[in-house]
Amino acid sequence: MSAFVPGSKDNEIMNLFENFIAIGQEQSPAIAAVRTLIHTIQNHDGSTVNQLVQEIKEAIRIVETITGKSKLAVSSCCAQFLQHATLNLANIESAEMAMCKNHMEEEGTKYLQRCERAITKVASAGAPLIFDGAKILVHSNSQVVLEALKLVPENIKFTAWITSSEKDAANEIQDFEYEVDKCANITTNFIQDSEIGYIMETIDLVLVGAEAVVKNGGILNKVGTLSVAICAKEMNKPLYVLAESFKFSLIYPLNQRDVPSEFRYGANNRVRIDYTPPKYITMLITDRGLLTPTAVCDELLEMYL
Amino acid sequence: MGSVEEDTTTSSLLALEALLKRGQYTRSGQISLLTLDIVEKYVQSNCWKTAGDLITWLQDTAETLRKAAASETASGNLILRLIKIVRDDFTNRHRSRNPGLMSQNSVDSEQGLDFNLEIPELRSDVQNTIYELQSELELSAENIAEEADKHIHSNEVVLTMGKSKTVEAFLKRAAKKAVFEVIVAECAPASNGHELAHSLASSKIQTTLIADTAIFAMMSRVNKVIIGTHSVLANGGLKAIAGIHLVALAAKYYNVPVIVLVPMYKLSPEYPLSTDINKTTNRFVSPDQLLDYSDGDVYSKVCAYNPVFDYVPPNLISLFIFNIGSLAPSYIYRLLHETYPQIKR
Repeated sequence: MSAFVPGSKDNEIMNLFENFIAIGQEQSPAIAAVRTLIHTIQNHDGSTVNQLVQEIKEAIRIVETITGKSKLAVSSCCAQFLQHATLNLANIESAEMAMCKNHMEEEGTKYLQRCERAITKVASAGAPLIFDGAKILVHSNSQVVLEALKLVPENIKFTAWITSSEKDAANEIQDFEYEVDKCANITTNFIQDSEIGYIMETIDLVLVGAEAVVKNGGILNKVGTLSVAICAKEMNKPLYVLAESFKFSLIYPLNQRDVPSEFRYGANNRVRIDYTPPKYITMLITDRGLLTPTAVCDELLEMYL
Repeated sequence: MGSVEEDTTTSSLLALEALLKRGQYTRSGQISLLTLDIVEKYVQSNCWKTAGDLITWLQDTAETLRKAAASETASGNLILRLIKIVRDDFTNRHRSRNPGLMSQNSVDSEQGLDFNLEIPELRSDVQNTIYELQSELELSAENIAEEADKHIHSNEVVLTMGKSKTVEAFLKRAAKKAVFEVIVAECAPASNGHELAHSLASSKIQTTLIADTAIFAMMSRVNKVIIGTHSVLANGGLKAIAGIHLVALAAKYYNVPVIVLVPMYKLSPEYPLSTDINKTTNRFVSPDQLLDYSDGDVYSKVCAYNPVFDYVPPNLISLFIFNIGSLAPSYIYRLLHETYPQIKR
């Protein structure tokens, strides 16, 4: 499969993860991480469940350290995976290791499938937000927002303002802009982040993605999202967040400084993400349905407990 | 036997459909009782054998009624609730038969259940819950009114708009214990506030009838706004009679609490997604209340609209009083979760 360095489990997992990222190019690295974990379960040769869980935890740690900018999604997704894989272990009647391993693999695969379907589900739930003649504002290059825009039927013509936003990689915003521009029914306008206040009065609704959805229904997303959200609130424009449920995370920031700094900063020590409190969010569109920010906590409880 | 029973169910369904299409109804409570009657007939009949059959029929019926009148959600809500009840009853029976199968994961609790399994006890279970629902529907206004003493105190000034049976019962119940004043906005062009004012005054409640234009002027003296609604949407907003939004905004300006009285069948799982609710679920009726037909000449020169509903965002509402308890708008999602079946994941 990948170059295997004998004696080094860490390297093996790193290679696996990078391999899975390369295979699923369009998909979130979180999904690659889950694939890596399932692989870890399959290849496990220890004799107790505890060992296996320890090994998964170790793999999660390794995956998290090398994942770069999608760290938030990867860590929440891995945590949910572990939760799912070990949830019903106590119910297994035979204590045989092989049975437990099979069960964990099965549950893990179910979870993986749910994650893979998530983006399409969110996109198809998000597309009806856009009506004919709508003027929308899009901030940061979210894959799921892009999918939603593509899913809008062709007879619905609308205008999208896309912020240039701080670039992580030189080409990613261009790719996003290029993809949106390809849709015949979308008129695209590219604007500087500083134009947000100016443009907001003409906007009907704001669409953003999220890197993580936190416990109180707020979101962590590309820096600038907070400014967009405050502007939108001030001018009474609805702000919709499109996010897959694997991004739901147990973090509970009360202000910007509460966001762990490992997530907060990007290259050159510049702030990469900001925290948008729930009061600025009209609705979260997720694969678990449409949620008001207050409903997020209940969903989280159901997912993690 | 089955065919005769099926005929009576179908004919009463057709009658209800026609009623909805022609708009020949005044209260959504009436619609929900009629819907429940039809469901009861069907449940008693031999037309279905398994929970799967029943759920399919319920879904089809909801769809038929929704098509007949998209803006009338009461029957759809009730049927959704019944679907949830049938599922729960089935799951409970199924569990008690196979206790080993219980899954701890609440997300997957219904997965792998075969609704086409025949469980004879299901009929009587569903029957019983329908009886419970029937009495809940009939008693909903009364149950809401029981809360009245907690919310209306002596010497208070209450403002309401238009006419709602629930609000009427609520105010009359409060009047048994407290002496207070009611200001009724007439709610033009239907002006059914007149009826309410009349009815309250004849029950010896001190009542003032005002024009809708006077709402803001009067609001500074008001202690509480108490209103009914057409339906409560999934985000905690209201779809209410046109004019309620302006009452709610005036109340917000003076920080007057807005209390909404709602029977459970008005709780709708729909989200107001489009920024402009007029595009989706509003209803525009004949403008004859605005312009007389005798002014025919004018009609060719002006546009006259007569929309029925307003959308009121959740941040303007302080409290909902349901027949099963009181809730803040931010908790509506919880109630939805408990009342209606979950979306398939």
